[in-house]
Parts: sequence; structure tokens; C-alpha cells
Amino acid sequence: MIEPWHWAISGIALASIPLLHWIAFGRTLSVSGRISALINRARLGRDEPTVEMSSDELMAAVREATIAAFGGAAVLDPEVPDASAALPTRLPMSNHLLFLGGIVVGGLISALAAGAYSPQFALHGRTFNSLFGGSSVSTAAVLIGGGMLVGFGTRMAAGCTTGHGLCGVSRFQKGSLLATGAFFGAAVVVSLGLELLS
Amino acid sequence: MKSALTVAVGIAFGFVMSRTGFTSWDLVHGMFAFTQFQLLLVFMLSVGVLAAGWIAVDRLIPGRGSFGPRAIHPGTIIGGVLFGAGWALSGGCPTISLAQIGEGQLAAIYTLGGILIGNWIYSRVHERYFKWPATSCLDQ
Amino acid sequence: MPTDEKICPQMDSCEMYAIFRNSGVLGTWKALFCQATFENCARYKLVRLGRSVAPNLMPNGVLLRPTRKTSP
Repeated sequence: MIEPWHWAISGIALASIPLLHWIAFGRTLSVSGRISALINRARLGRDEPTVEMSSDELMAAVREATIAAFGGAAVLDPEVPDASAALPTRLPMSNHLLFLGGIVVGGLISALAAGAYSPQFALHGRTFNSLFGGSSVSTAAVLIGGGMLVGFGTRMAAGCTTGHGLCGVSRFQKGSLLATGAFFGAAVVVSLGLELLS
Repeated sequence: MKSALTVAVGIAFGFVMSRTGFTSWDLVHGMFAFTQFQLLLVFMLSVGVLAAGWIAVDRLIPGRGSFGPRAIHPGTIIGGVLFGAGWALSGGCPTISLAQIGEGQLAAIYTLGGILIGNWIYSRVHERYFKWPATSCLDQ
Repeated sequence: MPTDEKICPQMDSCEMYAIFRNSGVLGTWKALFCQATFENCARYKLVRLGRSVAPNLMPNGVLLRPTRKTSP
């Protein structure tokens, strides 16, 4: 069992991760989004290869393609000329795997550093094991079933705890406030139900 | 270089997740049943620190990235409810299950497997039946 | 709500919209693919299916490529 940090240290440490991610990559931290990208890749195959163009090349290509589609009259002077225009880059699948793999390694390092690494095909937690841990079958059933709800729900809501709960809520996004209220409320109802069972 | 940075942030995330207590099924359950307040405090403080952090970061390095508005559609609430029910049962959100596997709580492999299957099923259901704009043009 | 005010819900986050705006070619594209008939936009169609959108995909389905013919 790994002893958790004090809540104040934990809270600050947890907040530092989306900030680090934003500073390092200019992207919102998203875990379910990365999983969705991997599932899309598995279902639908490779995306179109990324095209790299300088700002000038991009502007020229856009204007030429516009003339090809609608004729020269469709091209005017730029509304907001921007020399830094660029096509955004898509993260390659390897990047998703590296990040998700990193989370696993982080958990491993935490357990090793705490001297608490003893891998078992179980979940720690007295309440969990008294509720569901009677057999490996019941453990597997509740985890696979619960996991499927998590996978289905996070993709449907387009975000999980990190994207909606942490990043979206702290930016006061209406969609994230709704989604977070919904998942927290549902989790409270189910957990209070489980309390009655235990 | 970028790959190394990606792994490093991933490792930091997994390590922190493990030390906050979020990888403990009992503490997650205690948060939702209001019997233990560690994780509720962690979550609320974290959101507060982030809200201030975004303001600071946006001022220090403006235009670092774009944070598009998150769409609201029928899936926002229904999906949230399903996710919440699943989290309360399995104790895992996607990040938690990955960190649990690393810690040696190997049963979380079931949770992760369920998450992948659930994501796969929803992607099929969505394109067959729902078809509301589900992603944004900004998604990775 | 009058129908002629229909606009694409993705307009704020559309990378191609920003590029068109910055290149002076927005007018026709916007009239055809961002307003009343935005459902014809190739990018919007992918978003509806929950697929990823190629950064260089134009609303008419053409993939933007460098025009320079010179070989390196």
C-alpha cells in the first residue's frame, strides 16, 4: 500500500501536470482523447500522412486551390494577413503510446520508491475486496463491466477526468462543468448504493 | 527530444496519480460516498490551482496553444453519467487504471481492457446512430 | 431563428477557417461550407462521425498540397 501525500501537496502536484503538458506541447492534457485516437487507428487504419509546408507555401497552396475550385475572383486581399500561418500537426500514434506507457512507468516508479511493489492480479482496497473480491471471476466481471462504462461514457462525453474534470472545469467551460457534474453525480449515487450493500 | 519529453510528462503524471491516492479503490469510493475527504480536497485544490495557473501561463507565454470551446451535445450528460457509474464500480478512470497497472494492481488490466472495448463500441454506435459533432476539428 | 443565420458549430475551432481568413480566400468557402450548407463540408462530415480530421483537408474534400513544382 502506497501512503498518499498530504492532500495539499497532492492537489498542487496534480495541477502541475496539465500545466507542464501545456507549456511543453501547447496542448490540453487529454487521456481519453489519446485512447480514442488509438482506437480510431485500430478500427480505421492510418490517417492521411502529415503534409509539411512553410507559411508562404501554405498561403500559395490555399490561393491556388481556391482558384482551382472557384476561379480567381474568389481570392481577395487577406482579412488578417498572418506570416506565422501553419498547418497544425497531428500527434503520431507512437506519441500516444509513449505517453500512456509513461503513466504506467510512473505508477511503477512510485510503487518501487515506496518499497510497495508486489504485483498481484487483484486490486488493493478492503472495501473493494469485501464487495467484489470474493473470486477472481467477480473481480474481473466488475472491472471489465465498469471499465466498459468508463470507455463508452468518456468517448460519448468527449472527455474524462483530466480533459473535463481538471482542464475544462478550471477554464470554466460549460460543457466540462456539465460533464463533470454528471459523472460526479452518477458516481455518488452508485457509491452510496454500494455503501448500502457493504 | 519531443518523445523523451512526452514520456517524462507521462511518467510524472503516473507517479503523481499514484501518490495522490487516486489509485486506491477505497479512497475513490470514500470520495464519492463522502466518507473520506482526501481525494475531494485534492481535486478541488487542483482545480483551483489550475484556474490560477492558466491565467499565469496564458500571460507568460501567450498563444502557446488554442483551447477550443468544448462542445455541448446530448452525449455530454449521458456519457458523463455512464462514465461516473463505471468509475464508481471499477475505481478507474483511464489514467488511474494505467497507473494502477504500473503499481502492480494488475487486475486493473481488466479495467483498461474494458475501457478500450467501451471506447470501440461507442465509436461504432456513434457513427451508426448519433452523428452529432462528437469531436472538434482541434482534437488530436 | 431564421435559417439564413445557420453557421457551422465548428467554426471557432476550425483550423482551415483560420487559414482561409488569413489568406484572403474566405468569402466563397464560407458562403458554401460554413453557413447554411455547412453540412456539406468534408471536415464537418468527419467530425460528425467522430473521426480525426486531416489538417490539410479542404471543405470540398481536396487535400491541400504544396504547389511548388521544383524538386529539391
